Amino acid sequence: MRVLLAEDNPRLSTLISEGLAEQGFVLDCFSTLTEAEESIAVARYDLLLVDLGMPDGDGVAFIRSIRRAGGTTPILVITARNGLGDRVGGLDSGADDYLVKPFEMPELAARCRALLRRPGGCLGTILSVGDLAFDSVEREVRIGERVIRLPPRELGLLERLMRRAGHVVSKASLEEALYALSSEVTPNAVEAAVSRLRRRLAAESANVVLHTAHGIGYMITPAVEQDDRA
Amino acid sequence: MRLALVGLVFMVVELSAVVWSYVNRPNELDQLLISAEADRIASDIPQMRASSTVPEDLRQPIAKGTQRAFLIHERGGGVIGQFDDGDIKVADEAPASFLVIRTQRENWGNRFLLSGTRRVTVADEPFWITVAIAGQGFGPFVPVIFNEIRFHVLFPLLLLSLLFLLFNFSVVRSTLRPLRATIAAVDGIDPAQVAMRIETKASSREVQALVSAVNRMLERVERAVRTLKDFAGDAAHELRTPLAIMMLSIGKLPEGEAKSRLAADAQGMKRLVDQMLDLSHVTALEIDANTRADLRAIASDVASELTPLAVARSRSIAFRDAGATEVHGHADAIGRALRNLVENAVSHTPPRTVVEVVAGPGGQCSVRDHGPGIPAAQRSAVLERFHRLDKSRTEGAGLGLAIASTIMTLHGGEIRIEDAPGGGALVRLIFPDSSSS
Repeated sequence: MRVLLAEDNPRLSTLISEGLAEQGFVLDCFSTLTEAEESIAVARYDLLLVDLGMPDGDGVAFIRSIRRAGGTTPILVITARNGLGDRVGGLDSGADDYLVKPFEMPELAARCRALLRRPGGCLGTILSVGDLAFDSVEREVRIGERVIRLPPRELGLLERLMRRAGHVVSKASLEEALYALSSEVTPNAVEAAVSRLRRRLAAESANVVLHTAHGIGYMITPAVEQDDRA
Repeated sequence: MRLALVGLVFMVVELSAVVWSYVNRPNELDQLLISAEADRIASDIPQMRASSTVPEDLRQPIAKGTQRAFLIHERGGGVIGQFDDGDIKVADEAPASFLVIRTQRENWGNRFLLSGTRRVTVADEPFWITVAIAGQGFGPFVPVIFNEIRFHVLFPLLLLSLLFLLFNFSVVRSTLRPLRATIAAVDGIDPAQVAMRIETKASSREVQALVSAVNRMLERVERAVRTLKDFAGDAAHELRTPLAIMMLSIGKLPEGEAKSRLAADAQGMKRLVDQMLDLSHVTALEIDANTRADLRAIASDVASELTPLAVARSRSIAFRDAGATEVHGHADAIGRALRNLVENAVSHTPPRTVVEVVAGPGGQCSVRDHGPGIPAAQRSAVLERFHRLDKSRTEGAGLGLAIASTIMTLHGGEIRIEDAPGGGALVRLIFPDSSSS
């Protein structure tokens, strides 16, 4: 996976490229937008990491020009700005996601993988949370090496949840997933399907937790030791 | 009011001038005194003709301290009435029928004798009244001057003053009307909107000068605010990049207690920087007059965003819509305010309890935890910057509630801290009634 990094701070640039290299990414680092632009013209990248505050121009304008030229490579914005309205501005320009500085390596790596796993992305279609893996093309669920079979509704739910693992997926979005499978969806269909899925995952002793966010939706996370700090 | 006072002063000055001019023209006073006496007598002519006696009130002269006699002739020379007190008399000699007015004065020392004839018409018949008045000094003329002033000076002067007063009032009012509109416009400037300028339709040069001075001031204020905003952005970049370097470097250290402690410290610093920048952002925030914010969507997004944090710490967040309405405000800023409240609640609620986020009813949002609550005496203090209830806690800089409070003030709303029924803190963001704004 070839990744372009446009970052003007040499120390940060080194740390990011070393960190991502450990995760199997190959990075080309540039400290100006001009250099980055020249490189994009001649090489093919799977992902662009762009710092918005570059010395020779505005990152937002840079991203906009890439998109206007027809570039579809996923772009992850790294920014020091998170003023009110800045997020929207960054994404409006055509970036796919943003990460506000400072951040830790696992977070950056996870965001990069998520972008590469998108349709058209270069990573495979296997979503994984804890020891649970979901192949979205084969529509196959594995716990460790073991394949488990799930009914279509639960499969649909699990896919939605795993695509946004660690984030709350709204009930409306889950309902949509059920509608895609059948036109008849009872008011508590989501609750029912989630509780069946939860029982099934528990029965298979999957190393994941399906949390309920009351009034909002559900979230799947790897089961880890919980932090009981007061 | 002031105009009326000035009018009064002017009137007094005018009256003094009139009195002064009379005093300096004794002949005119003589004439006036005789005329006044003749007018008084003439009004009693019908009565005297009927009864052939002099009415009681005519026995006294018009001016105190004088002696007076009179004689009334009718056409043909007949006397129809006369009066004298014995000391002075009027010669009974019919005046010439063409005589209309005659006045004559004789002086001895400071004594005077006035005599005169007036032709009057009563019931279409001419009469000649001859009057003689003896007296001394100026005193006898005072009532005449008064009379004169009353009828010929005071009344017209009053009328004129009144008209002038009305005129002035309306002129001043219409001159100041554009100023009033300007004052209203200045009063209407929203401190959260520094780009605003006032306009005037006034043609008055003074008002236009004032308006452009105010606009120049607004421009300077706007520049200052923008400088502050730019500074906040610059500071963000300057602080966040080294912090990112620090966090990534910590990540490369070998696993161990020292590493996790450092990582936690770096997270604390990140939060402090985030909050300080949030505070500077919201302090410089401008809210567009027409922006509406959907409290339900904001609260549900915040609850959703913070659920992973809460879950990682064995707490959970529940969201409920209790009929929230749209409010006038900056959605992102309101989200930050609510986010700070929820973060606070998550860190104060005990493990395995729920933080309840409720949107509504109406223009409000509330966050409830199951922690120790906030003592009533501390409630206003916790809204101040860098204030922490429990100084031993290391996380957070005590900026969360200050940020929320600043944002709410900006929206004309408030934060209310209460005890939740059953224990815990209940913090509410209350927006002004949007139906009235």
